[in-house]
Amino acid sequence: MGDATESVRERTLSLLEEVCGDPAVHDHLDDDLFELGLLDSMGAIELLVGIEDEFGVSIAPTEVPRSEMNTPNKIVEQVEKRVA
Amino acid sequence: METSGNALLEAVEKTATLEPGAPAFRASDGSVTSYGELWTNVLDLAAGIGEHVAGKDPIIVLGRKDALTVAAMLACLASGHAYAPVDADLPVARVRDIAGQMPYPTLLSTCPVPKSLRTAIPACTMLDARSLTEGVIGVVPGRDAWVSGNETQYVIFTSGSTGRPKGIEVTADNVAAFMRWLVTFPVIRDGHRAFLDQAHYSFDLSEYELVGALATGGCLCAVEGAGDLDFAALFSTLATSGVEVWVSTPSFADLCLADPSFDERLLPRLGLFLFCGETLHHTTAEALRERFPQAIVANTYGPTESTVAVTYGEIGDAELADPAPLPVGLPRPGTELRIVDHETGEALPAGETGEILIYGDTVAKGYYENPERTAEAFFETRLSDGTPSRGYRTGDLGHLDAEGALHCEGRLDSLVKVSGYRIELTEVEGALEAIPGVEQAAVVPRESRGRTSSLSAYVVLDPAERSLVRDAEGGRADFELSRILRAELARTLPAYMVPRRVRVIDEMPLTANDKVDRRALASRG
Repeated sequence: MGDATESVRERTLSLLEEVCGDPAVHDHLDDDLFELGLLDSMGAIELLVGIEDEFGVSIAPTEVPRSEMNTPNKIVEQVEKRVA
Repeated sequence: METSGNALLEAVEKTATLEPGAPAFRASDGSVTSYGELWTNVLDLAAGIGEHVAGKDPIIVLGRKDALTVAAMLACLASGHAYAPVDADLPVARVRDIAGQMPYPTLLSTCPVPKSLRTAIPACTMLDARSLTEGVIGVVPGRDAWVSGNETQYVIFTSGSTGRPKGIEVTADNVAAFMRWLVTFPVIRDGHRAFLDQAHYSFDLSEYELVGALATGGCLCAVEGAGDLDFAALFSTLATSGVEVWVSTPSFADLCLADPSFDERLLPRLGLFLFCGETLHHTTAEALRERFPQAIVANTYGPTESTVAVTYGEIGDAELADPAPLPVGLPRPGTELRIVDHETGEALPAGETGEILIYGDTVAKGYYENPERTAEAFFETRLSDGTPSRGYRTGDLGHLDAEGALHCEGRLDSLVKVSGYRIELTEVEGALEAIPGVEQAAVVPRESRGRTSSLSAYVVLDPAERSLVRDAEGGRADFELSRILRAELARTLPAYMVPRRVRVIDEMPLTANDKVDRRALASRG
């Protein structure tokens, strides 16, 4: 295990890989996952539920516009902000 | 009971006459269409249809969730035609496959029709509802022209195992029988209630709110579909909707429950949740009862082949205390359920699991233009009091408990449901195998929290294609290939049928009987 920030990042990305079912998320850190077809509304909810289970932080879907949570890096950022 | 006339049209006409200002439809932007306006549009459109279309064939209604689409469906009925609702976002090839099954196809659009669609169905008569309501021509058809009795009210096209969409024909009598039951539901029976209108009209779940609202002077409150959801927009629409009757799949409720603001403060008037289309889980029902303590949570069950739903059961503390899957309730008056051994056809006693057969007055006419499939699934029978009735073999597994309530336990075949949509896995596999370069495909449901959340596809490529892929660099090439295959599928299949993942594998895992080992595939995740 690395430092805390690193592990939140890794855990979030592996959660994302699980929800998207595709390791390609690691190669598209700044690409829109909805445009790539890796995430849809249901997938996004699965991700939020997963984040709550994994980190104990809840992100309300109405609270964060999609444009702020559509790439792997932005998703990691939203989680880090709340875990910290 | 054989009826004349059309119960739904009669109810709409009555409200339009007695209370023309009552709201019938509230769009997601808040604009309201009254019963008077709706009925005027229905009559204008019916006159236009009568002018252009002879005969009694079904009419494809292409559109989105708006008041004009509702008027267009009713206008088909008022001019003697069944309506076949089709989502404006459906791929062109899919609409062509539907129109191609009709001897004299007519398409009535309430939205712009892309040129590619016009080109794809050259033999189809094209009518534009927006221009038909502008300059009224022709004669308004009289009541004697209305769809009635055993004539087809609507044709709902769903996934078909043979690779073509399968149309299910539901009659005016079926809908009238369903309506007589629906108007006795709590909250709905008070009349003038506001109904959530979320499922697309091409999905028969929407008949719940269409019939429920329009038969009782109620209002349809439209929200955008779940496909590409903007949560902030959805919740702001809900906040001003005044929804009193909630109709959706459990999946859509789960989606809303993911937001903590989904509670009685958002929808203070909500009195009834009506679920259908897939398994309702304890977690969903419990969360709803906690957040909406004043509302009834009701579970219902029924295939499109028996008109929306045939059972109703409220989920209370007693049901939730039992960890077994929640019951779907008791059959409606007019429906009898039989549980039989699928192999022998022998009737099974309460408590034993078998195939669910539905008897009664809401069992549909059959599959559109497909007498063979109809004869396989539908049959003539008698109710327990001797009344002649139609019967339907659902392919669903379940049992009846000592109280007569039905419990569902899955499927006999490879039909799965994703967000309530019926999907024949063989149809998706067929579509993949139709793509040049794909040798073999298998599609398996992926489970998340006890429900099919998405599909995963596994494909084996032709040997020539395989070497091409292997030359490129590993994972990245696989991802690009997956994107290409998904994009190809999206050209022929509705979005909900396109697997979220497509994996290229070297060879299909097989069982001892040389069948595709679906369990091995599913465990690959």
